[in-house]
Order: sequence, then C-alpha cells, then structure tokens
Amino acid sequence: MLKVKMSLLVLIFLLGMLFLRKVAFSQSDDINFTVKSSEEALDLALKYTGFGEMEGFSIENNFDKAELAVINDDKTPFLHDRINGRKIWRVTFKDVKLSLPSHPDEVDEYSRVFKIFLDPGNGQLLKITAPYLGKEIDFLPEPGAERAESELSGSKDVYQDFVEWDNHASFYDALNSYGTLKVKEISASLVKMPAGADKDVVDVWSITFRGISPRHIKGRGGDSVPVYGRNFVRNVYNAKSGKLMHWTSMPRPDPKDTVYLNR
Amino acid sequence: MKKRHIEYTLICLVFMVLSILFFNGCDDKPSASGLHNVSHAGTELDDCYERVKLRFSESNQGTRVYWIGIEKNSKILAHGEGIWLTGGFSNVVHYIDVNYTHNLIFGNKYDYYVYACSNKNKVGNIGAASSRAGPIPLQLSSQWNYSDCYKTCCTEGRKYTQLQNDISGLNGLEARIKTRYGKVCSEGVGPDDGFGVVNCSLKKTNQPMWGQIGYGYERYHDWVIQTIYYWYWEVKESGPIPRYRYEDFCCPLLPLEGDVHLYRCELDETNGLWKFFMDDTINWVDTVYSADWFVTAGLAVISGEILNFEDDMAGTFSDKCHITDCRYRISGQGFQNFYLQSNHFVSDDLNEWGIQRVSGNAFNIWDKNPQP
Repeated sequence: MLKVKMSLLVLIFLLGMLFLRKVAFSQSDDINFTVKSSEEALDLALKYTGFGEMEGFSIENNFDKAELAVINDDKTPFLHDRINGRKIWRVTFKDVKLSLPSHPDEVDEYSRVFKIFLDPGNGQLLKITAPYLGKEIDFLPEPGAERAESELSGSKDVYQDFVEWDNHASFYDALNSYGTLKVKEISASLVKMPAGADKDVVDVWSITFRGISPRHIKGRGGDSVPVYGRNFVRNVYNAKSGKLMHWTSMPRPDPKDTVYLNR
Repeated sequence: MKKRHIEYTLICLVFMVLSILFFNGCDDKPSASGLHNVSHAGTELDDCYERVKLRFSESNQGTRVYWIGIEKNSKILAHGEGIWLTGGFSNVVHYIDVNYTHNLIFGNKYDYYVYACSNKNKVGNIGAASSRAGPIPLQLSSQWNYSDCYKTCCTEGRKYTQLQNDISGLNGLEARIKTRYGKVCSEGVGPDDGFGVVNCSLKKTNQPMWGQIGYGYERYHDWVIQTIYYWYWEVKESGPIPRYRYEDFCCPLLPLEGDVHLYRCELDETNGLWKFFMDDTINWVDTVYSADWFVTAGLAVISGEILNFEDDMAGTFSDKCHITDCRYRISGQGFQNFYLQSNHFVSDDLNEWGIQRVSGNAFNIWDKNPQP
C-alpha cells in the first residue's frame, strides 16, 4: 500500500514538474511547430530586430517574455488572416530605448515595449510593433485592413507574403539607415511586394512611424493640413540592403478616428 | 623549404603594402607624437554658442594646420577652424565654437582633442589627421536659447516661382523639366527642415485641392543630416489627409543632376482617377482613386517651391532650370501646347528668384542668390 502511495506521489510530482516546465518555458507541444521553445523564439526575435547589435540593449534587461498567443486584432493589409486567430509566438522586449549610430547624440525619450510576432510553423516574422504608451495622442491609429488594402492596391504596394530570412538587413539596420528617435509609435512588416521600376517582387521592410514631426505637404496650403494628417509616414526599405526606397502616406488612417486624439 | 620561403616573402610584401597604405604622410593614423601638454584654456559663453579654448604645445614638425574637434565613438561631432602654425611652439591657444547646429546635449561631457594635418582641406577629418592629442573631457555648459538661434539659420516661409494659367475643364498637364538640385538651408548642420521641389500641378480653383508630380531635394532634421533626392507625386483632396509617395532615393531611376525628364499628371474625372507618369513610362504609372475628383481642375501650375527663404530654388543664373514642352489637356481633347505670355509668370520676389519666358511653351527659373 505504501508503495502504491509513493508511486502516486512520484507520478503527481513528475506531472507537476512537467506542467511547471511548460508554463515557464512556453514549450510548444505542437509537432508541426518548427519554433518549439521560447528560447528559439527569442533567438528569432533578436535576429529580425537586430537589437542584439544595439548599444544599451541586453537580454538581461530588456527581454520580458516569449509566449504562444492568439491575437485577433491585427490589421496588416493583405496578410492579417495569416496572423489573426492562430497560435503564434509573441516575444516582448521591455524598457527599450532606441539608440541609433546615425543619431549619435540623441537619446530616445521613450521607454518602448516591442512585441515581435512570429509564425511558429516556419519562424517567419509576422510583425513588429512598439505601441505608444503615453497619453498625448496626437496621431491617428492604424487603419482597418480593408481600407488599407483599398488604398495600397492603386499604387501596387500589395503585400504578397512574409519573407523567408536570408541574411536580410534587420529592422534595426533599416532604422539606422533612415530612421528617427522622435517617433511615438512604430510598426513594421517584413514582406514581399512589387517595387522599383519593373515592379519586380522584392523583400521589403515596410515600417510605419506615427507621432513624428509633421511632414511638409508640397503646394500652397500644404501647411494648413492638420498635424494629424501629416505626422505619420510609411517608409519602405529594401530588405537586402536596408536602404530607403520610398516613403508614402498610404495607407492613410481613417479621419473618423480623430475621436481618439486627446491633444 | 622553398615553399616556406615564398610564404615569408608574401607576408613581407603584404606588410609592406599595408605600411605604405596606412603610414603615408598626412593620412597617417592619428598619434600624439609632437603634440603635447594639451589643457583647457577656458570657455566663453555667447547667446548661441560656447567657445572652448585649448592650450597645446608642439615639437618641431614643420608647418601644419591645427584644429580642435569633439569626438564620440571615433566619430567627430564638431570641429573648429584650422590655423597654420609652425612647429616648435609652446602653449598656443586655439578654440572651437560649439553651437546649436552640432546637436550636442547640455550637461553632457564630451572629449575635446587637438589635431594636426598638413592639408587644410582635411580639417575635420579624423582619418586625415597625422597627430592628435587629448582627450580633454569637458561638460557642455551653455544654455543658449535654442529657438532664438534656430531662427538665425532658416527663415521659414514658402516661396514660389511659377507659371500659372486658369483653364476651365483642365484634366492633364505635362512638362519636360531639367533636374537642378539645390541646397537646403540647413544642409549638413542645421536643426531645420528644408526642401526645394519643381512640379506640374493641377489645382481646383479657389479650393486647396490638387494633384502634382515632380522632383525635389529635402531634409528632415529629425531623420538624417543629409539631404535626400527624389521624384514624387501628391494628391490633396477635400479631406484632411493627403496622399503622397516619394520615390527612388537610392535607385537607378532617381532623376540625376542635369537630366531632363517628362512629368505628367492626368485626371480621369469620370472615374475619379489620378495617374502620374514620369518619362511616359507605363511602369512608373501610379493610379490613385479619389471620390473628391469627379470634377475637372481649373488651374495649371508649373512651379518651383521652397520651404525656407534660404533654401535654393532650382537652377542658377549660369545653369537654369529649363522647363520646356509645357502642355495641358482639356477634358475630351488631346494634349496641346500652352501659349504662355508674361502675365502667366509669377515670382514671389524677382530679386531672389528669377523667371524668364523662353517661348510660348517654355520658361526658365533660377535662384539669384544660391548657397555657395
């Protein structure tokens, strides 16, 4: 009888350990996942962001967690169905202060939280976001996917797929090539898209900056455009070289979202 | 044995080549030889800068140019002017004026160095300095009034030099425009944004709505210090958020200085569609649907525009921005030549920005006081 009790206790102990291990390391038990552990997800997040190269960034201080999550509010044009409603990896970096060698004397005034979303099936980057956590919201939010797709289709900026990593320039490389620290909110996608003179499909970093100093609209009356109509931009970078290819106001936010402005 | 001999010979050769490359006169890596006894000789404060003085000595190294710089991470953040001195001197005082254009942070410590070089054109280039001595760590102590100093650089206020012609039923405009990039006021240093553009623009009469295509040069201070170059299009509707696209900063089809390109904007008012062309190349077409543009435009404008008074308008007296083959289209018709007359041309200030009729469908614009 004692032996049976002991065996049960050992079994319960082992099961408990197994449970704790799963919680602590978010180990995926899905056999179709190639990214099976939080450690692997973290490695991927570091590769895509390039933050390991950034002065002041360390895993000890900035890595918060890596977890499997299901999100339903993604608005990435053309590709949101690949993100929403699925179990994906979400790696969170906290207290990130961007430091760009291209801006040697500037200090990031924001303490940012970066979330890196990864496809557990193939390890592809789905999205990077760094939402604004302050209260002075003077910019409009990302538009809905349908509106965004309608605007982008006219200029052929149609995201076709996510990118298979092959020694691409990192998010940090792109920011350092043409970026700013004076931005409240950042979101980025690494996607395939027609670009350039021949509209060949190339890998690009599509990075949207919200809450920047207002752009200069050309033409008489350009300055009369309200700040919220000018304080965002989407930069498209060649993902191989990290160099800026074009910038655009499209997809534009929905003017109805001015209700969210509180400044 | 012979093989090893060859290897040694090769190693020696590589070493010799490297020696020649890296230890060649003024392009030496900096060393402190010669320069010595560097010390802080005081700081003078002004409303818009602080003058930091260093004292230094030099053994006899011949006649060289000396300058003071501020470094961080082996990158020079600021440098002063060079002075020629002949070696064998003691306790010479030279200075650097640190000002708002250097974007240093008040209260921070920076490393000051003295450099020497034999080529005055290389002042400010760390790699070209043959001697360097320091660092002298000093705190940036000034509290100059940034906004006052800011105004000493660029005077914001848009200026135009343009052709404008009222034409009812207008739905197309094109012109061949010579690429003449100018400098923006804050280029390389200042804390201001600046731009210069040349464009073809269809506008609604008496309403801030337009579609335009052209090229430009621009700097956003928050982003990078360099001016960047592009072609672009822009559509302004009745709503508060314009559409625009600025293209080709690094790519092969960026308009090159001196090249001539055809820029055309077309409006299909029956379907609310804008199309933008460069050089008639279908690959470059961008199509924009706009619910506001189920109407024709009423004003044709071909324009040089700058953001600040000091930004260069495209073109100079000796190499003007030629704008030729100016043509427009009325709904239901084909493109036709303008017949331009003097009353179609406007410059915000003829003392600053020239405009000159060349023919019925061509004109020139230029900046009369461009930056050197």
